[in-house]
Amino acid sequence: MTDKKDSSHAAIQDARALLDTMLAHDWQELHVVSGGIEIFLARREGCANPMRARMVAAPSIAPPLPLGKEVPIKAPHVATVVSLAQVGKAVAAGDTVVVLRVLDEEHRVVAAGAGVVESVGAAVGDLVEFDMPLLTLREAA
Amino acid sequence: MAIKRLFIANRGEIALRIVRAAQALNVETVVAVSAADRDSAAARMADCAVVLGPPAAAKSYLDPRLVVHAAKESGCDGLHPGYGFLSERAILPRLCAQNGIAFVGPEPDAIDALGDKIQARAMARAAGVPLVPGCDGVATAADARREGDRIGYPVLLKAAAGGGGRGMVIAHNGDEAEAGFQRASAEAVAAFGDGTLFMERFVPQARHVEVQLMGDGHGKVLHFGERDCSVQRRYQKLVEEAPCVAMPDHLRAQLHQSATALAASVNYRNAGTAEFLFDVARQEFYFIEVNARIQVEHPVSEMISGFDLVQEQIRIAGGASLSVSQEQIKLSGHAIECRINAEDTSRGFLPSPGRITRWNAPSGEGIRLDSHMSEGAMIPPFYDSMVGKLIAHGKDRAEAIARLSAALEEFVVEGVPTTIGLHRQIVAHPDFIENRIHTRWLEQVLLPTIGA
Repeated sequence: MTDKKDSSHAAIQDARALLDTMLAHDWQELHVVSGGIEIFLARREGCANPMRARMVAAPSIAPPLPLGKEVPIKAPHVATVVSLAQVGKAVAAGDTVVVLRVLDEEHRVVAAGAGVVESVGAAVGDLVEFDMPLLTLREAA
Repeated sequence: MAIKRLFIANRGEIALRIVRAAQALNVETVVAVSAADRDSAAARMADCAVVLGPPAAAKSYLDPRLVVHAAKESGCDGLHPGYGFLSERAILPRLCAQNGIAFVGPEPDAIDALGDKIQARAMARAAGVPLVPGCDGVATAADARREGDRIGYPVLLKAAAGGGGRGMVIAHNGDEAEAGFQRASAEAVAAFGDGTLFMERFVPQARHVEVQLMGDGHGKVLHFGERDCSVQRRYQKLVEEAPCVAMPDHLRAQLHQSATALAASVNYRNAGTAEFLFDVARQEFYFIEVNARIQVEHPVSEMISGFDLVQEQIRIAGGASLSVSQEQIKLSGHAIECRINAEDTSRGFLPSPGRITRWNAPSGEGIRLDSHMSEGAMIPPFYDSMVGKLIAHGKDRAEAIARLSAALEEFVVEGVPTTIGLHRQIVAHPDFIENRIHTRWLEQVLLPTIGA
């Protein structure tokens, strides 16, 4: 029982046994590497398959240029927009990116990290509500 | 300059109540919400909702600057504070005035004066309103006996210097007053370095009675009868009714006269409530305080007067005079309200927020339900846990109780524990039916029997 056909037969039998074990134990996922055989079983569709992930990762395409993450800056409370940094403006951590007004009092909203203003979501004079997007910052990579 | 667009700086059932009243007057509405209330019934029903801030009340409903900014910038010319939150903070009407917004409530100076217990008592005294008989400078045991004899027993002795109940003594006669003085005074010296005592008549079995007032700031003050709110737990009202049938008519007339005299003495504007302690044994009432806002329990007064108090509030804030005269206010029948909360009575009335999974609201003749809840609605954990107010009106107290009991039986709320079951027990209790209740009845009599 060492020929190729028999070894694949054994692999199918192993897989059946593993499936039974998985069902009996209420496991959600199972991943076995044994000899020349690797098996991945999962109850749910669409969960991360380590075998497929490796296949996708295999081709060596040049990675895209590293981009910093997008950081949305939102209104901390209801207020009127007095000024906003313009798209493309580079800012450092602590720089004011938005000035808001509540009655006659101005409040500065500052950038937590360095980056570039990627988009603005409000206009000067707007009444912005709590949690509304004011602008998006692309952090330096 | 009637209000055209009203900002509602509140949440829950009262926000919805105010939206409806404004809509009946063809006034546009903007409701202030926190992030937790974006989807509330009031927000959906209003013309517009503005999210002030995060769920925490201190950063949304309790920030007067955010509230007034949102009102002004959303084009509102009036602001209704509801009850609770900022409703009795003078800063709110002051900011409104500075920003050209009509505040639906009293003048800020009136709120300040009435909010100060000492000032409010002085105003009541000046208007001839009875206060609890007392004396605030008892310095010797002989003083204690003399003042006790004058005030009438039982009396309460406590430190003049400190607040709270520390070192309080109840004396039932002159000997106890002298002995009580020695004890309370020694404790006052130890605690505050001052042995001077304050003494006042102690009312072991009192009713809480209050008068609904409305002034227009043009010199006219009316009353809409009184309410009896004696079913309380830890000073929180659970059941309110109107009128107070335990009070004879001649005393009710005196009560109304006292309350309106007090409000008129400060040219009170908008809705307010004068609260009194009713000493049933002596057939006397004593002033407690004025609440300078619309109260939770206003519907029972509306039910017996057939008058919409919230609509009148909005009209008066817009500069109108009172739309009725005292003679036109006819009180008829009896109304009772149950405040229903999402609380677990078996766990010390633990607030139990959550989602309503089933909602079967009662209806029928004389039944009114003021609620912002429905199937699928959420009671967020950040605020009070009120589910709604169930009100029943009948030709007399017996009919109101019968209708209320039937409505409570019909009322099904699932998903969160509620106090509906407790209310069924209250209205079915012989003491309640025969009206033998007092402010400590619920805690002393009913709750111990049901293990709550």
